[in-house]
Amino acid sequence: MTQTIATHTISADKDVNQLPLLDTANGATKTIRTTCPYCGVGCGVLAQIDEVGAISVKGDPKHPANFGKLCSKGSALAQTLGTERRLTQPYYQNKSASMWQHHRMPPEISADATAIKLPDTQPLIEHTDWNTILGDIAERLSDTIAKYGRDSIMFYVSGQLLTEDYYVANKFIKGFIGNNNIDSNSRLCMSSAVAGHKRAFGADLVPGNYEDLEACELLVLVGSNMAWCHPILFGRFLAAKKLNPNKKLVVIDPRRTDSCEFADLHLPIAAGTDTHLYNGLLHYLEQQGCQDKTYTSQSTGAEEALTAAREWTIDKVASACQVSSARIRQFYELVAANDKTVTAFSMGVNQSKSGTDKVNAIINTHLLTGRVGKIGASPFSLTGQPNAMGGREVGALANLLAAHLDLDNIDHRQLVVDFWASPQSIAANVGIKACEAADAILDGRIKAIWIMATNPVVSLPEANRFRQALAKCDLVIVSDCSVDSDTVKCADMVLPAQGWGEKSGTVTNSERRISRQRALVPATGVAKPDWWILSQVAKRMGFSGFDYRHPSEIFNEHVALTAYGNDKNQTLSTKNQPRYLNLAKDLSVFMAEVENGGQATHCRHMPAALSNEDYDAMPPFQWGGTRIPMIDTKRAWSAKPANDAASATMSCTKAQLIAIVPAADASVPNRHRQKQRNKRQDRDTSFRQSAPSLDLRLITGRLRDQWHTMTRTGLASQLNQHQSVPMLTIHPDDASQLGLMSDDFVQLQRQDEAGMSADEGASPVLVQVAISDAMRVGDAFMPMHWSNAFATFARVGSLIPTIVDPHSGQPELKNSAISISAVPMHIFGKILVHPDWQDAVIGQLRKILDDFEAKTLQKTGLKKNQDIVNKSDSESRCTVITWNLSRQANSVLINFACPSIDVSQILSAPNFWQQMAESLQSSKPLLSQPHTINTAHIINKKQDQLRLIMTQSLHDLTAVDQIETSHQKSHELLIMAVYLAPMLKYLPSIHWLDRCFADASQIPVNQRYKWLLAGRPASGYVDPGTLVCSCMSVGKNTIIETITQQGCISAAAVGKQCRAGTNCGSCVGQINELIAEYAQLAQA
Amino acid sequence: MLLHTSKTAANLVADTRGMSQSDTHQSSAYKPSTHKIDTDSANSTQGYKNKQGHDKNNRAGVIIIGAGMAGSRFAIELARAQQHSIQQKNTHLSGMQVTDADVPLPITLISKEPQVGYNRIMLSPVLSGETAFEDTYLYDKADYEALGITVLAGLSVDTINTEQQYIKLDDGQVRHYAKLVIATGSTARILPFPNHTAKGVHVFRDVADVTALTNYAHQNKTGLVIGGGVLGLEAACAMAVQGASMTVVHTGDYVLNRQLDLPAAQLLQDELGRRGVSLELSTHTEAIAINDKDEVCGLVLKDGRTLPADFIVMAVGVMPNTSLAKASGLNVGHGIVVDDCMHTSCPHVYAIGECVELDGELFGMVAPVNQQVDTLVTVLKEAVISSATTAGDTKFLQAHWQPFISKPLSLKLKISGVAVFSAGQIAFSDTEAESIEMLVYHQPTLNHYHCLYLKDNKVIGAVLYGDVHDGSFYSQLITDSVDISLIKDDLIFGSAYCDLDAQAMSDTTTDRLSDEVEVTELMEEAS
Repeated sequence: MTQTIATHTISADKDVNQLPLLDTANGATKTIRTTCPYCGVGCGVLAQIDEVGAISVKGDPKHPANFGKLCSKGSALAQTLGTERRLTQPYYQNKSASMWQHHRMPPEISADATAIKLPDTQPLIEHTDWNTILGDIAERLSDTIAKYGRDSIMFYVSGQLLTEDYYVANKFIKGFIGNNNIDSNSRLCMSSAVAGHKRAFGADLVPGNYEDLEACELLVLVGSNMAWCHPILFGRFLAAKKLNPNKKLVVIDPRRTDSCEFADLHLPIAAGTDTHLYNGLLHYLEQQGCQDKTYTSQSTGAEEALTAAREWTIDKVASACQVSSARIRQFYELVAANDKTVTAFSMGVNQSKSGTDKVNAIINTHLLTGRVGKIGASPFSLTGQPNAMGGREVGALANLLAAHLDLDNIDHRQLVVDFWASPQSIAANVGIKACEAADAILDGRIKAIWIMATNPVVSLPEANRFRQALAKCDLVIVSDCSVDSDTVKCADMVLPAQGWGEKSGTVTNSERRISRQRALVPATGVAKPDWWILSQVAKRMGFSGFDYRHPSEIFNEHVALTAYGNDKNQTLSTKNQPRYLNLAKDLSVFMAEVENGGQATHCRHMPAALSNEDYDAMPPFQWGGTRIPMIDTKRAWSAKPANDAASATMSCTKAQLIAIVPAADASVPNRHRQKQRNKRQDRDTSFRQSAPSLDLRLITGRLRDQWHTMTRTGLASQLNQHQSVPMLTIHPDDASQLGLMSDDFVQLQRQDEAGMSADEGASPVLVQVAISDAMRVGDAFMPMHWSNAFATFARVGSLIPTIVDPHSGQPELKNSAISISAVPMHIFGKILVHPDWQDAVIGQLRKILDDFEAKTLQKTGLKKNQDIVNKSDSESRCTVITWNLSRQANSVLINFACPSIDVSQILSAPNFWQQMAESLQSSKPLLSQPHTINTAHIINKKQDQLRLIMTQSLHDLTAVDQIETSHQKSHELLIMAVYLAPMLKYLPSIHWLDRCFADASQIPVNQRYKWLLAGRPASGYVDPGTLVCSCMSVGKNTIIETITQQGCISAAAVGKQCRAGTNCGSCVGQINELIAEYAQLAQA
Repeated sequence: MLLHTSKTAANLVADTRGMSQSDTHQSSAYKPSTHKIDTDSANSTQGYKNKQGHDKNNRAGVIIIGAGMAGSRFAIELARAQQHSIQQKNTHLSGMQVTDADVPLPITLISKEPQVGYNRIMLSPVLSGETAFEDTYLYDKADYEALGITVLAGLSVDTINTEQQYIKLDDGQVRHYAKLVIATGSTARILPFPNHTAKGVHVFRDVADVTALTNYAHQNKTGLVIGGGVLGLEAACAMAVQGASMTVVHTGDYVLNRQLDLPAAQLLQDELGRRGVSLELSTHTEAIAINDKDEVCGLVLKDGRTLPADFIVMAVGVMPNTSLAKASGLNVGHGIVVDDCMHTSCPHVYAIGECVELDGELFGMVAPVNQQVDTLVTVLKEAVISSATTAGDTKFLQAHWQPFISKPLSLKLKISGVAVFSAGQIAFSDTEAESIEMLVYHQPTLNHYHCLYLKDNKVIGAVLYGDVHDGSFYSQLITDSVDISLIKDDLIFGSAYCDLDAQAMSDTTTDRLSDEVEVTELMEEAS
């Protein structure tokens, strides 16, 4: 890494094109270049497929984003391939039954019902073929338009889609269905950055690139835990800092994240006060004479912005941000002193009700100092998703058009209509945005919604309300690749989409670099690319222009649209707005460079469309040039030949400073607005109502090793080790107020505007607490990953009120008012189950909930049946059991806990599990040969302790002595292991057990059951402990031993000894903490 | 002379049951040719009545009444101890004159049964046909001879004169003793149901019983065993193997209810069923039904039913044989009262085995009886010391002897090939049960069941069924009252997981456990 700093650009590294796409030199082994599907860094991946089809991945050393590095998630990509947990066939679904089963949502009950009848659970789904379901969708969408008008249909799409998918979806709905009701989960991610960019630069442009992170003298991270969320980029900065220790890192984050481990300064500002801090900085920079008058003379708004900022003295900022003046001053001095400052910002900035103002407050300081689009000096938006940028390029948001054209510009709309040959004009109004969708469905504006590659019933604020809306929506179509999407369970029609490794197309990363994702393996089942599914429906609805046979055709069309009418001036707008996005031009420039370098290439000059082969061979390239300084009309966009006449005449937007007035309530946690339907209801006497509670601010965010709702990362065992249970992190002072200890369970409740805990009764969120002084007092952090598929009661989105930024429509996800109260648990448990039996076992656990909820429904009575329906919305019924899933290498770990005495007693009895064994035996024999299911258990009734294992055996076990004496390898497979105790500490570590699911032959036959019940061999076993380094699979105990036994007291020494922290480095912070804790025990 | 082998209850001799063959110190047996089960063996027993009943100086020696497991073992062990002691003296005092006092006391062993010193525990496998009777002898005839022990077989003692220190045998001869050891054992109980003297009512106690019961089995007769204890179950299983149709009638709710808890008993009952033994549980007997030939034809129950039977075996416990002692003026309670040096109320008279009572306790297992034997050997091995000392000299006793200390007992047995282990307390009153913690392991396919009973961080009881590998480990924890708080979580996984003070525990106990704690039930209780 270190040797590559600031030297790699695509033009300087032309040999990227030399590498063959397919390398078949090593026998039948081939290597395919592709791109990682996780964050916006967009790392290049080399996937190696050996002769038997086994796939391994490593970083692409030639890719200019990562130069061979991959983070923990990227390194585990191969583990996420395959058929496990995949949708393989299209099907119709009994939505009502499915939502009851998976979401505990009872169906609507008619007023004259005499008894509450729960939906039949069979058949939930009816498999079909593509032709049938596509025809059906086309017909129903056409009918919906005929009956309710064009505006009654909505698409909800995703930054996980490839640009080609995105393009077709956008074209389909805006150009042919005829509305702008398409929004993307990018709305939750980058839309404040988009709005901020447009306000500041006139267009959605990222001025800098990744090299600036290496070239800068000062990196300021605002609202970004870069060490976890963009570890490869963070690694590039750290490597540069190592070479030049004078480089400084400042982290601005209410939490002391792992990124702070490497920071020279951390400002733990109160959530939402970024605008205050940056107004103060703007004022300070002016005071210190840091203004770049040349630059600001070509900008607008500087005076207004400064005027607005002047009241923000350091003391006032310190007071607003609740950070000492000294620290604020320290920060300001660092920024003032370093021309080469990069401010990288992410979700902590964007996911805010003042997100756009935060973005502009940050950009203001760069515009004032002219630190824009210069080497090592730029504001930099770190995008969350692999193709957030691609979505923005094709305009797949309700307020965008396409190709960076403006929806509110009639010329732009006409241009696109012409290009697409749309049957009607494109609507001028902004479509329905993500956070408005629930309302639009519930009030009847939207009758049909098509959700692609995203999981909004988990990720949207007021997630339960959106789910409720889906329950009531006439037609819900969901395209996805995973059965573990909660949204799939809410669909009337489910379409199996291809996943990473199967689909093929392009993505654009945070630095505007377009890379190819390439197919490595054939599609699972009959899964299809999203663009194909969309095109097929469009064609069946009678629309022309959807005859695509290959993604290259779509890409070519997209490229052509960016060039369409994009003349030398690159202007179309009456607003004198340049059209920066001209991929045809950029591609031709790029290819010309490649050719001028004397390098052979498959690509030829544009505008001739790329052939399939050229498209398949297309190397990563950056559009808009290396840097965009925004004000220099002569170099509005770079990396083009000097003799290009276009640059001389191309106009450019004026950079614009925006006067920011921080909202007085910016830091006040958001409460739910009382909705009319949420009348106070009679509820069950929940077990929590009298418990003391504590009001906190809920901040959501990511875990180091998980991605989105875990449908992919959840498949890779090593990614589930870092944090395997849903946790709420709070400050020790807050914990002591409720007398909470680590791992205690708490219930989280939303708060409504009246200031009281909301009317929702028992909470839908029940998680364990982690106690850490990395939190501010009063703040609580919870990951956003957990869904119903992985945890019963940990969908944090259900707590978050829909409070959106007025400019971007992006909801605030990091500042929600909640209250927490302790939930004592009677028992805790771990179940390890063979993956083949996961659904069967979960089904059995669900029955417990079913029984309980059915009883509750009966008890509540029919008179209030309408209330019951509403109650389902909030998952109001108190729970009797909670669990979460965590995929291990050879098994699935189910952690569970019971607040109910009754259910604890049921689960504590071996009988329950033995009956489960019997039902498993009859429901799903894994082997066609005769087999028996054996159980063994230990029980201590007095201590509520039970351990039970279940094996599947082909042997007559009574002949065990014979097996023993003949040393015959037993064909006994471990199916399930259950451990149950009144305290977590009585449960065994699972590392050894997990191995036994693959191979239990190391256990002496006559001791098999005892060993399995003990959870470890009788002697000689050292547990590696919780996984710290996911990439190299190194556990905490191993690292501690390396420190204490081998005397390794630096992260480098530890890495050398046991390899921990030597890949992506995102665990180095944790290793340093362990060193600090254990170094004094090190043996010399 | 013809040996008396009456089958009446009064003549049945002490038994020690349950001990496996390997547990005995001697594997060589009497030669079959000289020791037949049949009664025509008067000649062969002549050999025992050697002329050295008194030694050449006609000194009175040690006389042992009863040649069961306790008596015969004591005779051998005492003789060996004496020999060893004299060898040592000779080594140290070579050249010095051997005095009279240095000559070991002669030892005489008197056996009522013609078969001397066989392992009564092994009668069950003999009954089932798995073992030959000849293989059940504890010692070879040559062992007695080599040690100079006088064996009088087929003779019983009529009277003891404790004043004059002699005994009178039923053949009229009188023998003086210096020390007398009573090891008369116990007698199987016969419950006095109406018709209990009818033909076909048996106990299972000695060789003669085995012969009779085997005959029934070989004729495929229908038999009832009264009593679901170890002996009853073993007898039932053994005869079922030999062809009889067997039912066990038991007053308790489940079999072995003194040794097993309900789940273990149920496993055992299922196993008995698989082996063709029927059970009548919670069943009380009213009377024995007979035909006009005074032969058993059934068992009348209190619930009105009559179970058909060709023969009935009563396995309802034993009673110490104390009549001789009582008649001789010894202090007798339930058994012959002894102190912790096995001394009776009468000078120079000792008692060991199933016939004794110590601190109100009776003894029916091999281990404590062996321990009593060992104790008494230390008391009597030095002729000089023993003759110079009275039982009242406690100071001296404590310095030189190892008093008998009663230890909690455990049970390890094989019934029909099923390993069962039980130790300590396993039954509790309701109030007691509240403070008891039970650790249970169960593997239904293999029928393995373990239950540990814990109180105040100590194991107080254990039942193991199927896999008794860790029985001795648990037994030791019970016996030594080990605080198990540090190993409690792993206790149920067995000794391999319990590394607390690994060294101390394994070093001091393992060896001992392997042969000493393999204790066996001896006494059957009426239930």
